[in-house]
Amino acid sequence: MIKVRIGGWAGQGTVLAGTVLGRSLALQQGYDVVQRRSYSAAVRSGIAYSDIIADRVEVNDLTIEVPDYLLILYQKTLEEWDKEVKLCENLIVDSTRVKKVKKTDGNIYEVPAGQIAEDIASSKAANIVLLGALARVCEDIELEKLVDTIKSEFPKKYKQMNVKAVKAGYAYIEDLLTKD
Amino acid sequence: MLKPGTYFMEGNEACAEGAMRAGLGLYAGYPITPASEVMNHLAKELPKTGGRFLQMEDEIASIAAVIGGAWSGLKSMTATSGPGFSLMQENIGYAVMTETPCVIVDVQRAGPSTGQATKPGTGDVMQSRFGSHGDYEIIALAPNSVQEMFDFTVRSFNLSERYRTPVVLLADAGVGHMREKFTIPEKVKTIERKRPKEVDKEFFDTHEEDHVPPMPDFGEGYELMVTGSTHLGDGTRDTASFEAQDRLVRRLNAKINDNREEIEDWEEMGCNRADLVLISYGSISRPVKGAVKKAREDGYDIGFFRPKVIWPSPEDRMKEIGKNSEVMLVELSLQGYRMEVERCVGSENLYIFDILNSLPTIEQVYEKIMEVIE
Repeated sequence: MIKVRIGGWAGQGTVLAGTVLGRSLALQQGYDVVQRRSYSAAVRSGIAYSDIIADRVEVNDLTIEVPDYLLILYQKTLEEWDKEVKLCENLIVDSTRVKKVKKTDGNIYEVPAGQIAEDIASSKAANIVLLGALARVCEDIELEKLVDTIKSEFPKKYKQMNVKAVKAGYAYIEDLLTKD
Repeated sequence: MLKPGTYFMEGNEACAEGAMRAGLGLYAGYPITPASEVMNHLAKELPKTGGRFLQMEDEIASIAAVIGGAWSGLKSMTATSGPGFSLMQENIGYAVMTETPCVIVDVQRAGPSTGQATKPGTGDVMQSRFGSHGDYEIIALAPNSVQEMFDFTVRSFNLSERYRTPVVLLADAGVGHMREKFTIPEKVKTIERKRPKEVDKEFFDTHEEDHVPPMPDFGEGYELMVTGSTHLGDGTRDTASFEAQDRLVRRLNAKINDNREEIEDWEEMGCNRADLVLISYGSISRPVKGAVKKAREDGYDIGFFRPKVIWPSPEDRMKEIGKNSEVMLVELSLQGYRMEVERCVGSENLYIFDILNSLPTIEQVYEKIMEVIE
């Protein structure tokens, strides 16, 4: 079972990133996948996140208490989540926006996703950069399938930018791990 | 409208796709979280199929337009959540009384009142059954997956056309806002309403065994009067006689009650003489099923029972279960289905696990099972 949470602030595309990941695992990799989203009733702002649970058997657990992979795009979101951050196996943060990272029991990956995305085209693609990073950290997620999903789902105007973004995120972790 | 195939989409979108496959001709609605995606999707897609889409000024107007659409010969639907569902109640009764086939989708959220718009709840179960005034029966279905959001929407239309009655698709934010794989099959079985023969003059009474009279469209040429007041077979009002009230109201109720076997549907696992049977429905039934599976793997004699059609309730089966097993009802509200389950299984051997605002994990339900049996 793979349990991923992508959290941030409303407008950062946490649900979109979750949908790309969920769709890729479900339709391209043959997993049974449940993706859920959570957001507050505020018109704008507030914590927003997306949970993806994927398994080779029927998924009935619809709630993540502690994710295996926690992706965070916003400082305040990180601060709100004590248990999840402390106990998750892998924490991947956008270090462009998340400056202070608490100690955790698992691995921490700091990826300047906002900056990487801006260098490519727009900081808006930070969510997809982080998704690329996840694909390198989690062996079960195939980068090529994510690329295929982005190519088939995104409007023409945003395709190239997001393909570059997902690959750049992957490459960043690849470099990090090779240096180690 | 999507082609047959497998997709990864939200429950609300699957509901909209199911409606179009069932032959939706008119959608009239007013947006509300967590049901808006049904409307968003239909606003884009329904006109392309030749259907009509109307954004109304509120939910009262929405259900009224849906009823009008049905009488002009279209399969009609609206979608809402608790606050809007409350506003629709009077006209749902009107649809029952005038025998108007239509589908009302209620993607339930945590209430009462505006409550928590983005959080799931099942506090509208009794409202879906008793929300309008007077004596009536209703059909309501409770999906627990994206696939069922599609399948049950189709079935809601089929039941409403078959029995000439409003049908409620009683979803919740959990299943409405969830994305999963679902399949649109090559062929979807649809049912069309019974049409009158040229000589027919009675569209509000019948001696047929199923109690369902034929239904013409407005403008088709028949002399037609539709009224929420008590009426005779030809539609004329009779607001005083015992015979008119007795015949009409008993027949309307019999349409559902005498056809229960055809309408009822449920899922069960290991319910025969189990030590404990968990009853659940809607999105929360997923972790409940997961917990029961786990308990069974661990050697416990635990059963799982899930009404897919929640009204009319599978009362005979629930009574049987109550005779032989202890029961635990797990639901996303305090009152939800409780009175009905209690009526069927009795209060003495009934345990309750009610949870508000969010879905429990399999582990949390498992712990509850252990608390009860140990």
